[in-house]
Amino acid sequence: MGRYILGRLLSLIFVLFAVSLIAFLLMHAVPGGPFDIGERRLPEATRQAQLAKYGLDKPIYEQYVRYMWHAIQGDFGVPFQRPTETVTGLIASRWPVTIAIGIPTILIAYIGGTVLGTIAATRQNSWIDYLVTTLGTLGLTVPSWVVGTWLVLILSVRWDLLPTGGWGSWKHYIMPVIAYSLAPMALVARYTRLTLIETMRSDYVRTARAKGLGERRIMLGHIFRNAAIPWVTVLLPEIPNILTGSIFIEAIFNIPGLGSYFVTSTISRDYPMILALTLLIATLWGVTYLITDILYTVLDPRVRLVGGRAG
Amino acid sequence: MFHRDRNQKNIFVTNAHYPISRRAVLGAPVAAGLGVFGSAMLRGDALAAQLLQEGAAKPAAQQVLVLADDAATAKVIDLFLSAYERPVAAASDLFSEPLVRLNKDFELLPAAAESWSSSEDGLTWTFEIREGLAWSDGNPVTANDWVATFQYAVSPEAAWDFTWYFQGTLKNWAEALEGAIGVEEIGVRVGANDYELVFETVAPAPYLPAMLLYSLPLSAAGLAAHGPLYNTNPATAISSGPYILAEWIPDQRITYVRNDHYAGTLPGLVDEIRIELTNPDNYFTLYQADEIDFMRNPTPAALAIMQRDETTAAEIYSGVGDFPTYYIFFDVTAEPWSDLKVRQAWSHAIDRDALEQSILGPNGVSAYSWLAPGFPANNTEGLKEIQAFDPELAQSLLADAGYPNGDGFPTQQMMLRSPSPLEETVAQALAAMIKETLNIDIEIVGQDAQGYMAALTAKPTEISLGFMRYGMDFFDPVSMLSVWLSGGRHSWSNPDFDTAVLAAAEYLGDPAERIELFKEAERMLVEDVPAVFVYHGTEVQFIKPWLAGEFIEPDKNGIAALHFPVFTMMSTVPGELFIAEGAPER
Repeated sequence: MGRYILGRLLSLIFVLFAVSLIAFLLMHAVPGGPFDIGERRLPEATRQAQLAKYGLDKPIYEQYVRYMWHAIQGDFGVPFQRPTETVTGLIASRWPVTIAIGIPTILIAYIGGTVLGTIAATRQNSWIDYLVTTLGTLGLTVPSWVVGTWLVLILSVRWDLLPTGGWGSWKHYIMPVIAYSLAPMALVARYTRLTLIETMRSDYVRTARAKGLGERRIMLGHIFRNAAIPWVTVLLPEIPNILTGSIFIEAIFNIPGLGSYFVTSTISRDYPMILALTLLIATLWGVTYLITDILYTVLDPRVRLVGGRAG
Repeated sequence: MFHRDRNQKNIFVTNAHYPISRRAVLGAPVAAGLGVFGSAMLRGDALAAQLLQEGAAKPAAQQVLVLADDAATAKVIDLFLSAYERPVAAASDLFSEPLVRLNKDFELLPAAAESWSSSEDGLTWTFEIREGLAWSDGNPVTANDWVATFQYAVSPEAAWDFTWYFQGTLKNWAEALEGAIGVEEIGVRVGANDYELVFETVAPAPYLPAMLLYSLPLSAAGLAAHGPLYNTNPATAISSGPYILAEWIPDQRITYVRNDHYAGTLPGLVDEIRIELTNPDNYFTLYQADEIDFMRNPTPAALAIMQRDETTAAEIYSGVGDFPTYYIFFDVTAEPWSDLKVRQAWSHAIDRDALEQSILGPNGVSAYSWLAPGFPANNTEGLKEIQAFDPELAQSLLADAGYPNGDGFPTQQMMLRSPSPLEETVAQALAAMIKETLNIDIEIVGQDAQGYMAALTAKPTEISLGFMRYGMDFFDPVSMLSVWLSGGRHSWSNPDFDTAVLAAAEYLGDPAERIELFKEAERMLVEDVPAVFVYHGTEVQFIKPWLAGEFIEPDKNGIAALHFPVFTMMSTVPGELFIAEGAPER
């Protein structure tokens, strides 16, 4: 197991290099540069001075090597958008905000979704099943920014109960977490319901029932355990998405998190930020898939990560 | 015309600039009930004290002005660090005084400079700096602060995004930018004593005082001790303006508080200014929730919501902004735009009045030329016929150019720069008008500002057809007309126009004659149709009823709004705006 994890981590490093190279080439291929702002054409000398100030006057391969050399040492440069901060400092100050919204979102979405999905599955075709299915469809189809806008209009503008946005007190958590958790909760609920129903209809559950096992034991020992495998495969990788924030949620509720930077960095051609964020996402995904693979072995004794036969 | 406000006081509404039908939404509430502005000579603390005594203003502790700005562009605060990425939409440029400032009638007033004069040849300009001004670190404000600031701005280290502004005006500016000579050789130097600042220009520059609106100095001592970013951190902030930085949490908030060391002539009336850094899409929600006091350029939907209710309609104002003109431009160096007849045909195919009535409303007035009403050398009446709406003439010109009924005319892409919802709507209407009159298909394509400006200013330009705006930087015709000089923003080049604009700009004689020269230059521009002038933006603003003071009284043209350049030391607004009763607790 240890060797397997080490091997996977090493391969992740190669993946990161490949991702960084692709991202680097792509962002330089997009027309416009970080300094094409303003109303008129800048004097050529100023354009050159701006490029030189941020090392963009060097050949592209040199820029890449230089960037990666510094990145390996933990220096990701200065974001063009925030000349008073460093990329690492900016991520260190904004990511915790995003995570602070992301963790309650994950808890509500996954616990709430699992409970709702289980209730719906065990009471199939009852009113509660229809309710969960309908809400699940709504949650998935109504975008978070629509929910967010309505929450602000009703709770802030109309009723004056909560601030429209911002950051600092517990009040600032309520609306973003609601708006952010609805879609993943719906996804979890629907998927939980689906996998549970499929598992309940399987032969081994029927066999267990025929053996006279109690419903509780069947549910815990057979259904949940087996349903967990597709559940983990599909739903775990959603977590990095939530933990890196949403531009819509952060923009609507004016949350100083990291999510907005995924978009503003691209718009303002903030090359150091684009690269750092791409690497961050790639790392998170890599680690999440590794965890998912390890979880398989826990959930399904037939799965072995290295060597040997299943059995 | 009388209007009932939220507190059921009679408020006089007037706006001579607009037709009666729109008065309901373009009101200019005069704070008639306050009756304190007879003492217009009073300023700052004295006026504030009097206001408080008369019960009109809130107690000093609640003189908190809250504004919003785009979190993404609030990168620095000082002008000489970045002209385009500072919180200019809300409040900036409060940490020092420019040499001159504007009042709401766009008259040039002395600010840090008490007076100025020029040599007979108009090449040397001497500004006498007001003695007694001080930085919050105890240093006096002297001519050397401006010299250090301009030298920093021209240096490669600064790579300032506004260097083009002084290019062609200040002596040795271009040479220093290119590194051919040292920064100490630019035409900005200390004169006979510490309080005399001398500017030398490339050519006679009667517009220089107006141009030096953008002259808020950095502290020479601060620059030397902490580097250019000293005003981004309260610990190192230095101010000679009425406010100083108290807090800056990027992506959240900037707070300015009173600078107790301020010794100038324009102490602000409010005690604290808070800037909520957010996404511009949120401004209207914040405004509706009373979390900000002012916003401008709302979406058409937000404007419609405000217009629906009589109380909120009274909060809608329509100003002059930076006298912008919105225009369709062509790359005249390439087919089919190289044919004047084609360009003329387009200019006669746009029904501006219909656009104004059906889409623009308080957002703009029809344009037939470049310089907006109220801007010096404006000549709307004299030039109106050249590009007037005339569909039959448009069709015959297009036929003469070889495209009868638009046959054979290639489908066009009209490029928009990071368009607002209003600009998109206008562009769609323009495309429909062209289709209806000339039978030419137009596809509207929006592009982000960075990519757009790179493509537009590339040589040769990569944008064949576009729709965009330009607004003044300073109140002189050269500020607007120089956009069309050869080698600038657009590919159109007319040596006669260049000569005419420069001759007018440099004209040292009677100012009235100088204006006439500009009018002749503008006629050449309009006649050659490098652009179809569509409308002059009249910036829509929402102003909460508790923002009171002289600033909201109509200007000499009868227009009431928060005038350009808004809450900054380049304007008299900080001395004219206070928080009256009715404001929420802050």
